[in-house]
Amino acid sequence: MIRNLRPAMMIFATLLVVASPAWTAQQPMMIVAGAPRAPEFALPDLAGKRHKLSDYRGKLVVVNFWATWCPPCREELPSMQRVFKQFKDRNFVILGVEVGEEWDTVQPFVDQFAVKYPILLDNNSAVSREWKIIGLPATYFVDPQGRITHAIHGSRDWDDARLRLQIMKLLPARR
Amino acid sequence: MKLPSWFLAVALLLHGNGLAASEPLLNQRHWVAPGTGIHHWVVERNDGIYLEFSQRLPEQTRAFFQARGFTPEAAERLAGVCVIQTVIRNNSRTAVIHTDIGNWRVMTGTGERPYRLESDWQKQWQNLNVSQPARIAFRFALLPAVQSLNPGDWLQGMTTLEVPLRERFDLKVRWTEDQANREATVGGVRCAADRTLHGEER
Repeated sequence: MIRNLRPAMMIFATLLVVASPAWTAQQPMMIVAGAPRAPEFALPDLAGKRHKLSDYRGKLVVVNFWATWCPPCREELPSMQRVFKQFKDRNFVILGVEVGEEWDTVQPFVDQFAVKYPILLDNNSAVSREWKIIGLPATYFVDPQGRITHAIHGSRDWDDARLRLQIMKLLPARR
Repeated sequence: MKLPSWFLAVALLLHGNGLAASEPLLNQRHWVAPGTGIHHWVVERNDGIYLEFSQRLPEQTRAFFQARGFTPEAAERLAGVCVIQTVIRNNSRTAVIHTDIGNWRVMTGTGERPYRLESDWQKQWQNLNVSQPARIAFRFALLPAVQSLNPGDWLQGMTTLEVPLRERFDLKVRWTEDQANREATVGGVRCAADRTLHGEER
């Protein structure tokens, strides 16, 4: 009898395991209700070039607020760089908004971590206030129309397959 | 009827993943990091909040804020109070966790007192002419007073408590999980003495 039931029991057990907390916790990112319009900003990068958020309309933009002294920010930087490298040719960009520090602190740090996406300086934290940032790191996904669709509070492992899968789903369609 | 061993193994796995737990469980633990002697306390609920409290040496606090532009005098104000590094993580699958540190209490032998919040300090920094970049760093270095964490979100930051260094106390922490009020008491917490990481007293 047990032998006859074995296939059905295995399917049932597999379904239960997949649905258990250890498999479903730690969602990669959360949907932002109502997808509000992202506040515009214009900030200089480390070379002095100004970047406006609206310059990136038509792309999926990840806006990552961080600081060099913030351990979780440092932890996620290398995997963020790998994600940028993987998707940068698919209308995808990361804008790292460094909060409150000066060029001479940030530049050596960015060199050390070999970050290739634009790092923008929010020296007086005006942009982080406008975006209502309360803790670092904080990351927002801005869709090609300029709306904030997803958010992450705290760091993530950007090599995580589920996170990359979600990013792939959010990428603009190729033309 | 004898169940096959593979079925028992799956049942054990499910139990370990929390499916068998019908009541929310609150786990607490305390440990001392070998080498540094730093104390850590953790409170966590299955499929819910994870809170970690770690001592921060006054020397670490002094060095951190001086490196962010605080004057020695201003940094000394912080080194003189109890600073606890705190991590809040939402390990639930679906619930939104809301915390307000203004509702947390420090319970000592002489009564209870609130945390000292970032906004309380900022007035003092203005009077001490602490630079704007330093004040920005301070704002983000402290754990945000009020926050809502979605599943998977987490934050960490310093919290400041006005209790003498080395004094033992309990922490009463409160939060909500999808509107349900929860609280926990973390017993026997104490701040780090003013020493170096190698143990030399200042």
